[in-house]
Amino acid sequence: MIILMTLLLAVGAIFMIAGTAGLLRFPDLPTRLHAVAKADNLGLGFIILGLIVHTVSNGAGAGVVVKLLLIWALALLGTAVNSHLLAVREDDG
Amino acid sequence: MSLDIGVFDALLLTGVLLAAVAAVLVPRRTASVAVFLVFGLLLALLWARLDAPDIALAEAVLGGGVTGALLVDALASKQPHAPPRRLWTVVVGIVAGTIAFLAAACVVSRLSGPTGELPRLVDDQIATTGAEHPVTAVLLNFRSFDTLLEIAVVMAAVFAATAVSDRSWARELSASGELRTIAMALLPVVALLAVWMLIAGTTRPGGAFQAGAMVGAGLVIAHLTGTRHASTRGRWGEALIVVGLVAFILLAFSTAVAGEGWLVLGESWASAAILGIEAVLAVSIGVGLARIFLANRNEPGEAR
Repeated sequence: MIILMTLLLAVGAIFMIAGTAGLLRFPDLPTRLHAVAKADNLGLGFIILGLIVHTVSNGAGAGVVVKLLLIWALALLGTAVNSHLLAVREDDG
Repeated sequence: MSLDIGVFDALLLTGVLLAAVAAVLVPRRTASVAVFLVFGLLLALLWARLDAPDIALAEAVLGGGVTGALLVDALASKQPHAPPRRLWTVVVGIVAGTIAFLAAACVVSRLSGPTGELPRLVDDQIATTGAEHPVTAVLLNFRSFDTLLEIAVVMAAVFAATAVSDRSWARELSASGELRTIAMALLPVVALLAVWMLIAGTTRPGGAFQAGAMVGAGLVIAHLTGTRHASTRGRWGEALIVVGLVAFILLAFSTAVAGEGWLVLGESWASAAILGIEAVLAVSIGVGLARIFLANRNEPGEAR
């Protein structure tokens, strides 16, 4: 269980680093949004999965799992909306 | 006060003073930055000699590392770009990364958990602080003077960041139907999360800074969706940014005049005072963050 959890957390961290590298290295707003929105959400997903494994193996209740999934859902929704807003406003100021 | 300092300390102290003076007085900018980097390193060593490894680390990372990188970057952008030599960059990056990793591994492996007596002392006294979470208790009660200064730094940073913008910012955007729907769906959620993080700070991780980040995010979303009266420009925005620090200072004065001393919170009203001051701070921090974002938005068509 610990191996699975560590693996998931590590993969998540790698995606987060990739997204951050994209945010820093890409030249303009759309490409940066593209990097952050995709890579970070995938990374967060893996981290959430790892934390769910941790929660379940520790025998904590289903409520924690639901909360973790809610956090991911909110992050997905928030990223989608914010990326859209920033991209749209890029054109008309 | 004892003057029991060794040769090494005396040399270090002299070196820090000399480097500080030299960094200001040296005429050439490149030399000035180089001396400043040396100054940061010596200062970090000095903190370490004063048995303050945490401050030494902070100084090494922030004062020497981040500030140094910014200064070098500013210097480099002034000069004509040399053709990039990728291989060289990669080699330097790998070597520097390896050294940094090994140094960090050395330091971390020597740490023996939380340092000294402090965690136990916090646990012993936490019932008197008005906060159930140790981080909140430390930030807003035991070491509230530090937090007051941090808020002052944040406020100065906000005004500095907006002062260097070209002032073409933050006109209200037009709202279309879909954007208004987004705002109506998302803003209540953000407001709810901000309040929850604020209140959560008394019993678990959370508090003014996290809530302030949510307030800032909400204001940015409100601005981008064209919601009315969401601009943090002008007198009202400035007043809201200042009010956190002013409230904190007023609390400090009133506890000094009417209470037991500067920022000494009475046990009976400490939790109310902490929640109150955190609420004001969250607004100030949030408005400040949103203002930095808005001030740095370029007009359409400008080069980025």
